[in-house]
Amino acid sequence: MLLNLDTIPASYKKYVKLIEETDVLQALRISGHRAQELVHTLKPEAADHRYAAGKWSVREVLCHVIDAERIFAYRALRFARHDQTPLASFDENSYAPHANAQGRTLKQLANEMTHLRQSTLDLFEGFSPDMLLRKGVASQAEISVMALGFVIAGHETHHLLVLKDRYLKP
Amino acid sequence: MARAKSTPRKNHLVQEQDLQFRSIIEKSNDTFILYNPQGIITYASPSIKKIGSYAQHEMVGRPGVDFIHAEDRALATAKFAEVLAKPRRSVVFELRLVRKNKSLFWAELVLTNMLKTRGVHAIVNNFRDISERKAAQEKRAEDKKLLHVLNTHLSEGIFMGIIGKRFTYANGAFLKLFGFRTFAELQRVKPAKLYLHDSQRLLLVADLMKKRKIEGGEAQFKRKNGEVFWGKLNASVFDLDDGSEGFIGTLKDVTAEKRAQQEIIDSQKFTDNILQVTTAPVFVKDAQHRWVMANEAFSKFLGRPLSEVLGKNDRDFLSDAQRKVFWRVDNEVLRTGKTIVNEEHVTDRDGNLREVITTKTRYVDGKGNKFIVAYLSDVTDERNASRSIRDLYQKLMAVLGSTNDRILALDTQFRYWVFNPAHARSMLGLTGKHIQPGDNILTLLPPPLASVARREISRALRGQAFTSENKLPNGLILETSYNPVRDKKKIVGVSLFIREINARKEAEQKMLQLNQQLKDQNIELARNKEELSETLKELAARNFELDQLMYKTSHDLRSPLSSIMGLVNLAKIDRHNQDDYLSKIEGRIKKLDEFVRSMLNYAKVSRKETVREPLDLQKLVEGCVQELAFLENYTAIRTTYHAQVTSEFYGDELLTKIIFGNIISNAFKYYRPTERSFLRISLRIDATQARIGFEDNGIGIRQEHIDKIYNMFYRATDRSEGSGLGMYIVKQAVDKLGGQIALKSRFGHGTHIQVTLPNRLTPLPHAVKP
Repeated sequence: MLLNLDTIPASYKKYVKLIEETDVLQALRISGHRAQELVHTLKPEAADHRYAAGKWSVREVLCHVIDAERIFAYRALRFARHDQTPLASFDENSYAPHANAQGRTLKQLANEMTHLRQSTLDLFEGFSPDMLLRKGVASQAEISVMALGFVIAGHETHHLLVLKDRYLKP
Repeated sequence: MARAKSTPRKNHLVQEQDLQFRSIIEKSNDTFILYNPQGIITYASPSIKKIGSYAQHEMVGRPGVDFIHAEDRALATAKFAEVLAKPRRSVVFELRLVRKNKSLFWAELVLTNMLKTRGVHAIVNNFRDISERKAAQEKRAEDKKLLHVLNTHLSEGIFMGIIGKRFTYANGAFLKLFGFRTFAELQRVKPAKLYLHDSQRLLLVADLMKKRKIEGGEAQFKRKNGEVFWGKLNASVFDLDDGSEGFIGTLKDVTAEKRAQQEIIDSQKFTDNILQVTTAPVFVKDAQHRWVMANEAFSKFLGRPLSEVLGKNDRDFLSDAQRKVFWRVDNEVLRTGKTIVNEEHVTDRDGNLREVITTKTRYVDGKGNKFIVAYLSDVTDERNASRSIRDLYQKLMAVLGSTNDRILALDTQFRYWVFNPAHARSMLGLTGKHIQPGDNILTLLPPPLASVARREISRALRGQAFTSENKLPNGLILETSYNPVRDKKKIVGVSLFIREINARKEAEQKMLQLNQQLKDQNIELARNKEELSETLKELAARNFELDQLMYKTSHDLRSPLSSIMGLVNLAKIDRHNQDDYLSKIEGRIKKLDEFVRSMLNYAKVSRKETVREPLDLQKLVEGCVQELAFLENYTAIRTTYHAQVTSEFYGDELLTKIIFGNIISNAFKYYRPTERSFLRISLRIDATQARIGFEDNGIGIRQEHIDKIYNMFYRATDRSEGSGLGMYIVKQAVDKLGGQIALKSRFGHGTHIQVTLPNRLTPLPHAVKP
């Protein structure tokens, strides 16, 4: 099943464009492996690195990626169950200070990411083609279940690239 | 080996030193064996029991070589001789010793010449079991040999490395696979960079980390020159001493296999596509008559899903009789390899018998398995259609044969396609020839008929459908319907239906006559009816006029009579002026007379039958003017004539005279004394009509009166003493003569009346009747 980029809300399109895979499950798997590989190369002292004042630390970025995946997956679940209730948006910047990023090690975050991705994969594996095509409204924009899967992978990949680019360049 | 010398003094010392030596070697973990210069064992340390299972006394007194593997005895003797020749020198060598149970073990020997050493005086053999070390060594050598063989003979790449870091080993094949000349070159490259798609690497690595090994993982790799190849990877992970993880594995280039696989998939897809796209049912059966492949069309044909069909044979769906037919053909195809086309009857799911043409061919695969490839075409509908067409054709031909009408069809070259017996008979009678399909009708027909036929058939070939009638020389009348025959839109011929219509023609003729009679009668009736209604209308008008006449007459007659009566009475009383009264009475009487005359005219006009007689209109006009000569103003009006006569004139004298007299007398009555009055009369007579114009410059008629002047008793002027009947009578007379009257007048200027009368040169059958 192919995804039509034109049906993706503008705010998510840049994320989905980063994904080369045509299968949503494969996209989630590969993005997850890529994240694990990157997180494992991080030295413990890099955990609180910020590339500029006021920017998130590496740990905060990872917490944000985790939060977003949980919310997107929740939206996918509701739409797949034919729930037409419009879903509220979330403010990532107000989430960050309350994520207890300081209290968690990179290893803990990596573990959580692994388990969360496996849970997301299990969720999406349970969607029939029909369910993947179902749509709902979140953050005032219509989006399909399948597109949400690509958004999870794309959003994660986007932040991995930022980490590589801004945080990890020597 | 020499036996040690001994003296009593020395003996003591020796014994003492000997004891010291023994206590050392007996406590040692190493095993010691002492030989005399002749190679006879003089001592063996107790640990020999552990290594070789010998008791000490079993060895002492026996030559040392007895305990050495036969193959190594030469080496041992040579080494012993070497040591014997060099006091205080040692040699180290390895050889195989024999245990008490005859098994061998490798030992490392240190052989020392201590013959001159006090307290020893022997060749000392200090040895230890090196079986394990030796085995490891041998293994290493074997491994090395194997690796060498692998390196030189295997195309499979072998590699080792540290996860996330670098390669630590790669064989030549591996370097060659990636196009690197040296291992150092490879070492500068991160293993991850060798993958074409990072996603493939991530999946493989994730799999490897999870299961600690992967077998047959496939991914695309990049060569140094940018070429891409498919690799099949076996790898496993192991822990390194420093806590990091290492990997080791083999890599094989499977591009060719992959390509072949893809080709198979492609060709299978292609075949599948063709199979599924083909609308004809297609299937493949194995030698046991089981369907192994079939397309959707075949499944539809059987009315069963493919999943239900594959793996089954004919017995599962078809009747025994049908199956026997199919299997006979199947078996022949399998045996002979011939392609067999067979017409078969198959029952579909709904139980309908279908007519099917099956084309079966044998296919033998690479392993020699035989298959039947079959292609079906369901011809049931076509057969049914052609059967019904045949039926229709037969019925049609029966109809064509039984009709007396001649029916034929020609192509665009006037050649017969088809004709019925009636036409053939007719042509035989006409030309004396038996016609055949393909004959040209134009060359068969006699020339005059041929030219008619050519003209009409050509017209039909241009696309017109029409019917024509032709009379043959023998008096037959033929009606021919031409119809263009079209194939799609193109005209390809023409069909003709020819019928003899003499009998019909006669009937038609009679009918036509009867019709005409009927029509005439109808017209007559209508005319009668019209006349009747005209008469009725006229009657009604006359009735009305009569009423008016009665009233007017009685009034107009009484009024002069009353005035005469009055004048007579006055004359009786006033006898002096009797003449005056008489003249007045005369005037009244004249008026009365005039009135009575008018009444007479009217009676004449309305009662009289018109007659046709030669008329001299000019004379008539002049007469009318002359009659007025008694009028006082007769000379005051200048009357002129203008006549243009090209024909005799026939008409009714009396009516014409009434018309002219009335118009002329009006002109004289209503003149204007102040003007030089005139009356211009013009006459134009030709063979059809006479037009008579009367133009005066009298008082004229007011516009509002003009429409009414033809009414009875209408007076258009106050000045007049007229009866009010004049112009009414004129109109009546003109109407009676079938003429017309037109009047133009301007009040105070004059009047122009034009009368047109038909010239009755010849008597008319329907003359206007009164």
